[in-house]
Amino acid sequence: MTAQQDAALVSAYQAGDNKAFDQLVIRHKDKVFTVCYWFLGDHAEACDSAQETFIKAFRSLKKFRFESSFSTWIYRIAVNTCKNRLKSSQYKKKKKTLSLNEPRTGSEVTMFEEIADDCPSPMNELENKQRRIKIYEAIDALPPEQKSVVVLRDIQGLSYEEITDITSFGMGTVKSRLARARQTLRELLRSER
Amino acid sequence: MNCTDVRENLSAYIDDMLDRQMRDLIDAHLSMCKDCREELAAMRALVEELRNTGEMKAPQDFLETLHERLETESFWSRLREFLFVPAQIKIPLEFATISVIGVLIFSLYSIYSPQENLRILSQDSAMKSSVVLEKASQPSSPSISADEDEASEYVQATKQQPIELALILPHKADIGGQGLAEEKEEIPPSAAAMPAQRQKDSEGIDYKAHAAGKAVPDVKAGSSIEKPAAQIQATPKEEKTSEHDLPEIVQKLHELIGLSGGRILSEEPDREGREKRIIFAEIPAVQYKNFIDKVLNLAQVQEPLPEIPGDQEAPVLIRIRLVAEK
Repeated sequence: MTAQQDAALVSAYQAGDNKAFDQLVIRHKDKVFTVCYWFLGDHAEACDSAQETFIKAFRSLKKFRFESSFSTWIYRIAVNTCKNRLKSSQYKKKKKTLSLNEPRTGSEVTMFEEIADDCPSPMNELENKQRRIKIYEAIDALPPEQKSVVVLRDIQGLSYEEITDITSFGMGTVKSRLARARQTLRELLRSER
Repeated sequence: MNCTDVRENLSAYIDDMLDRQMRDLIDAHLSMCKDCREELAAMRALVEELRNTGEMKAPQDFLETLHERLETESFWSRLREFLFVPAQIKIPLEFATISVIGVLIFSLYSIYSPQENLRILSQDSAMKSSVVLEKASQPSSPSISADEDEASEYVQATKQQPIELALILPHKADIGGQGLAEEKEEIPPSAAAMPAQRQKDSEGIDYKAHAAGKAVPDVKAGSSIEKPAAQIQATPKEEKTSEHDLPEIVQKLHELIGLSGGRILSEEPDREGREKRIIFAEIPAVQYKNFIDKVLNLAQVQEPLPEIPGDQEAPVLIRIRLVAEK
């Protein structure tokens, strides 16, 4: 998946090929969903936010000017959509009913089960799932600004430059927030061991 | 460089985001500090662990669900865009349009409101006719209805008996009305012997007027004049002579009726030969007394006129008969 391929699909869509948009969705839906999930911590919320991200992209794609890559652009929309959702009173109310101390069950655990696991041992597999739940809870405890840089850098693997494009933070801000987020995660996860 | 400074930069060190100089300083410190080396290792492990969480999978029906949402939203988004985009132009324009339409509707409603008709109708509840005119606004031009048959029908409709008013048209009557023209009085026969001022009117008829202490008009032979019981003494300004100056009396009656805010329902010439004319009129109750006073200034009445109830609201019907003096 390259930026040039994305650009070609965007151009095709702007020329009238609606199927090009479908291709873009297929190429980026998992990435967008992952970002939304790590931001919001809920499968249904993540799905809804991811859908909303692509709807916003659909509305604006005709006016896309190729000033950044499509990938950076769609990430930007996803992060902003998630931030707005985090601020919404409906989400806050929902969050209050969930306790981070309670063991995660249901769809969250299922999600982690789908992740490729190289460890064949059942014991290791169980430990890995539990570990991932703890990582999720630790990231969920971060403030939104630190959460966004950790998710984009350490989970999605984006560069610092891409993160500055997506979040509109300065380079120094990205560095300092990422450092603080990693430090906080280390302390939280160290205490969980 | 101390441990605090090093640990603050470990995150950037891991991502190779430090300049050469800073990197060398940290390398030098790490070579001597075990704790910072352990800290660096722990952080690298964390970053590695986060990277290995892997990408999550979106639901399988993600694209289909997206299409459904796009189809639903496209209508509303188009409508929203049509109405409100750009907001700085469309919203003030729409507000101005709504205001103009509201003002137009209000103006039309005010003009054609049924309240105006209701107000007119409510002024005369006793009348059968559905059209009630405000004659007070048209005092000098009373309307004249059709013939006496209609007048009779009108009487039946209003269930009101008209007041009979018989005005005696004197011979060589000094025609006048208070406020309309000069006021004149009839001339006693003895006045013929007195010195008189004579003028001719436009028709060439000698007309003589007399008032106490003033010039006495000549009296034609054969004419008999009686001084009426209710007459107004006045200073004549113009003298006319007429045997029975009917048109002028009728004209003045018309004017009096109009001034009183009434209307003429019918007017018929004499049918029996003896009476000169019949005028059937309607006078507002509040103007009745004033009207009668003015009529009495104009001519003599045969019989005393009845009073009307003080609280009467319905217009008074009057049948004025102009009777030639015997």
